[in-house]
Amino acid sequence: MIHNKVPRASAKTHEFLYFMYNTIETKQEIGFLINKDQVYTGFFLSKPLPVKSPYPCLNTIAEYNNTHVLVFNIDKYVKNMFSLEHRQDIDLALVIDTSFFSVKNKKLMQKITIKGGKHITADFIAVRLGITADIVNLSLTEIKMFPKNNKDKLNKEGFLGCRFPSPQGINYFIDLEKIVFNTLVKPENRL
Amino acid sequence: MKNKDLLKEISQAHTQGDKKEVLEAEKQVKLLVFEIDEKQYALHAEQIREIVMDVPLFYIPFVPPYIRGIINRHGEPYTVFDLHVFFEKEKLAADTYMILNIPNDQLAVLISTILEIVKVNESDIHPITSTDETDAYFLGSITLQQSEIFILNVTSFLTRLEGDLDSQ
Repeated sequence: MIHNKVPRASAKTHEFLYFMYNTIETKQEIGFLINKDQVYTGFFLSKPLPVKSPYPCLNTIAEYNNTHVLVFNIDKYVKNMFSLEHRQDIDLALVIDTSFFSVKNKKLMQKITIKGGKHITADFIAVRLGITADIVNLSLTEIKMFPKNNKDKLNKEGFLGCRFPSPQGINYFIDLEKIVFNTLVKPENRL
Repeated sequence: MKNKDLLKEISQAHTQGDKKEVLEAEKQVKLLVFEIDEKQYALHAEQIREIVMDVPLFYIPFVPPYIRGIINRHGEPYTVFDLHVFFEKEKLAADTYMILNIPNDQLAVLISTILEIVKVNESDIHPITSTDETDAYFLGSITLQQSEIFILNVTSFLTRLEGDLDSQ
C-alpha cells in the first residue's frame, strides 16, 4: 500500500503593529493589532495644531513631509470606548497611505481636507498613538473571527477579529480605515 | 365466538392499549434548571456544552446592552448573553457561564447558578399558548416543586440579536 504523504503547510504568518493598555476597573490587558501593510511610516508628533472640527477624535493636524496631515486620535478613541487607563509614554503618529482606501472614503477624505483651510494633504492621514507600538509577527491561526452572531456587525465597525495572548488578555484586530471613516459618517461612533 | 373467548380478547385489547399509552408517556426529556438572579429557567440538556466560572469577560462595542461581551474558551471567542438585561433591563452580577452547543456559532449565557438536571415526560411540558411578545422566547414550561419554570428558546434570542444588530 502506498501512502501519499501530504506535506503539511507551514502556518502562514503576518506582521502586525501592536499596542497595549490596561482597563481601569478590571485591569485586563487590552491590546490592538493593526495590519502593518496599512501603515506607511511613523513619526513623532512635535506640535500638533488644533483645528475646528465636529469630530472629537479628528481635530488636529500635524506637519509631515512639507505638508499637513489630518490626525486621527486612535489613542483617545480606544481609551474612551474600552475605559482604558490613561497613559502617555510618547506621542507617535502612524502615517496611513490613503491610496489604499476605498473610492468612497478617498472622496470623503478630499472633501474634508479641502475644508481644512491650511494646505492639508488627502494622500495621507496620521493616526495618533500615545504609547509605544511594537511590530509582531503572528501566525494567522492565532487571529480568531468573532462569533457568527455578531461578526458582520463588528466587521462593519472596523473590528475584524481577536486574539487571546493569555487567559487574562485580549487583542482586537482593527481596521483603521473603517474606524476612522465610521467616526466621520456616523455621529453615534464619535467618542 | 364464545363469551369466554370474547372476554379474553376484550381484556387483551385493553392491555395493549395501556402498553401503548405507557410507551408514549415514557418519552422523556432532560432539562438543566438554573437561576438568573432569583428566577428559574430551564434549557434542554443537549443544548449545553459546558459550564465555566470566573473567566474574564471582555467588552465588545456596537452590540445591544444584553450582550455583555465575549469570553475565551479554548482560544475561541464566545458571545455572552445576559438574560437579566434582556428581561429586567439590569446587569446580572454573576460569573457563571453556560456554553451552549450551537452548530456554527459560539454563544454563552450568563447565569447565577445551576440548580439541577431533571428528567420530565414530554407530556408534562406545558406549551406556550399566549401571543405575548416575551413568550416567544420560551418553548414551554414545567412545574417543579410547585414553581413554574420556563424553558428557553435559544433560536429566538439569536433571531432577536440578528434583528437588533441589523437595525443599529
